[in-house]
Formats: sequence, C-alpha cells, structure tokens
Amino acid sequence: MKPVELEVEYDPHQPVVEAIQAGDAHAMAELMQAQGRWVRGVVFGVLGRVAEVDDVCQKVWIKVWRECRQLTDSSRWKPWLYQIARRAAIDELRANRRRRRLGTPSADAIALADLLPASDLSGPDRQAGLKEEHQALLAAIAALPPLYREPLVLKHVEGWSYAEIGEVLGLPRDTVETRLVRARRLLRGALAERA
Amino acid sequence: MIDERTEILINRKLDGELTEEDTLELNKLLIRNPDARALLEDCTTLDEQTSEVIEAVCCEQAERPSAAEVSTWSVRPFQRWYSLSLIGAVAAAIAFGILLSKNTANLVGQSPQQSLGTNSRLVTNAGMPADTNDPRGNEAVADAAAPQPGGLTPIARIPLDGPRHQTESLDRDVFGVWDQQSRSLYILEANKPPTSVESVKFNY
Repeated sequence: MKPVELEVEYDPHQPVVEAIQAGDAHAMAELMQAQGRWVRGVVFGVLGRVAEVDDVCQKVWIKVWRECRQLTDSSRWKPWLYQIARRAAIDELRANRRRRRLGTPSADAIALADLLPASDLSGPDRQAGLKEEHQALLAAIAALPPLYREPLVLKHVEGWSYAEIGEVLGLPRDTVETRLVRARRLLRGALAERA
Repeated sequence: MIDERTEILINRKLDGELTEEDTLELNKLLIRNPDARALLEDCTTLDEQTSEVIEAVCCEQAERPSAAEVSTWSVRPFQRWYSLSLIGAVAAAIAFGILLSKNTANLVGQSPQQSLGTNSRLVTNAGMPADTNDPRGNEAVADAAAPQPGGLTPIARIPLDGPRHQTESLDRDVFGVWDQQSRSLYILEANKPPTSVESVKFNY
C-alpha cells in the first residue's frame, strides 16, 4: 500500500495557549515574549501614537490572562488575541479623544528619539537629519487612516503574507493588498508634500 | 505616468508576493518605463525607512513581566464579583431572618386585634361549645355579646358565607384571625412563647 503524505498544519503556540487556559503563568510569559511585537504593532496601528502603546499593551495582556478560558477553540488564538488588542486600542482612543491635542508630533517625536538607536556612521548633523526624517515618516504613518495603517504595520512588524494578515484582520487577501497599496501611496504623497 | 497595475506589481515585489507571471510582467515594465524604475527605487527606500520606524515602535524592549508577576493578575473580576454577591446574599438572608423574627414576636406579643388589618375579624374559641353546628345557622362562631368563662372575650361575630359547618375540638387556648380578602381563618395559639406558635389555615 502506498504511503500517503498528509500535510498537517502545526501551530507551536497552540499548546502554549492551552497551558495558559490551564493557569500556567510561565506559558503566559512565554506567549508575551513571542507575540509581543505584533501585538504592539496592532495597538500602534489602531492608535497611531507611540506614547500610549505600552500602557495599552499591558491592559491587553492582563485581559488575555483573565479571559483566556473564554477562548473555546484554541486554534483560533491569533484572531482572538488580535480582537483583544484592537478593542483595547479603540477604548484608549475613545478615552483620550478629548484630552488629545490635535497633531501632537512633539510628544511622539520625543518618544521616537528615545527609541531609535544612534547611528555610528554619521556625525551629529546627519543623525539629527535622520531623526527628523523618521519623525516626518512617523507623523505620516500616524496620519494614515487606521484602515490602511493596521495592515501596513503588521506587514512591517512580522513580515506576514497578505493571507496571514487577512486571517488576523478578518479580510480577504485582495483587500489586504489593496489597502497596502493605498497606504504606501498616501505615505508617498504626505512625504512629498512635506518635502 | 504610472498605472495602477504597475504600482500593484511594485508593491507585490516589495512584499514578496510576486508570482512567476507577475515577475515577468514587472521586468518588462521596468525595462520599458523609466518612471516605473524610479517608483520602484522610491518605494524601496520608503519601505526600508517605514520598517525602521515601525520596528523602533514595536520592538521597544519594554519590561516584560515575569511568571511570578503574571500570577498576581489572577485576582479576576469574576472572583471579585462572586465574593461580593455571596456576601450580599448572606447579609440579605441575615436581615430577612431578623425581620421575620421581629414580626413573629410582634404577632405573639401584641393584642391580636392590633395585628389585624381592616378586613380581618378576631374570634376566640375560649369557652366555645365543641359543636359549632349552631342552630342559629350561618353564625357559627362565638357570639360577641357576653364574656366567656375561659377569660378570653370574643370580639366579633363572624358570619359565614354559604351553608358550611365545621366542627373542631381543640385542647389549647387559641384565637382565630379571619382574613376577609382571602376568606381564610387562621387559628393561632394564645399566650405561648413565639417558638411554639402554630398557624393553621382553614379555607372556607
């Protein structure tokens, strides 16, 4: 009898999620370490602001720990985690809407300056120029509609394919591609205007 | 001039989503169209810078909580609400029990007439003849005219609706409370501690 090869999709993080549902705190710390980047990307994609990403991510992980047992199908943990992160970011947006000043690049510029590593190949002038360029780009990314910003951030954070981004966002592959094209078009236009 | 198809193919190239056919098509476009080559170069540079910026935002080394700290998050709202609701239920049960015991003490300690509503009439069996099948007909309960030898004075005459006759022999001192609205007669034992009060309901 001829052996048949079966393709089985194995998700190495699913046992981690199941361990978290059983109350394993070590598994929770492991999940945070492994998935922290793209969760931050989702939060930033919705918020558009760097300064609040940390606080919102903290709330996301606490909520994941407390509500993990509500996830009935552990294989769907990624869309479930995405929804938690997205809702937390939207709640933060609503809470800060009144307090947020219009167009506050200064706050984000300070945050970004702390985050970017200093270039060891250029003098202080070029370094200032690099940071200024990144500030302009960050402001342009922040100014994108969340509809376009979310897939763009996920693409650059994890390098996911259109299909993988679509699975998390709940969108068809072609829609993800279209939104990425428009996001880059808007960025080019915004940077051209500033220049 | 760049058309949308060229822009899509350039984006697919940046994202690593080109198929073989797309690759051939894009290469032909790049050879023929210098604007397409310029756009590809601009998009590549922009993409690299975007990656740097987003990487800086998302890969910030925030302090990750340890497993020990994660376990401190286990005070779940569900548990908190469950405890509060349990305490509330116990407190309500205690309050209800106190209220019930007070009401019972009031019923026993007070003059029977004081605990009655306007639709109730007090009757007593002290000194009543055992057979209540009174030739007077429907007025089968003690006459309120004269005090009885048992010491308890009947307060009111209770007319009964319909030709009903009830014979009951009790060896204890009791008093009855008639509820006009429900047309029920409650027999309560008199001059006893609250714990031994027994209520007996008769439906007429």
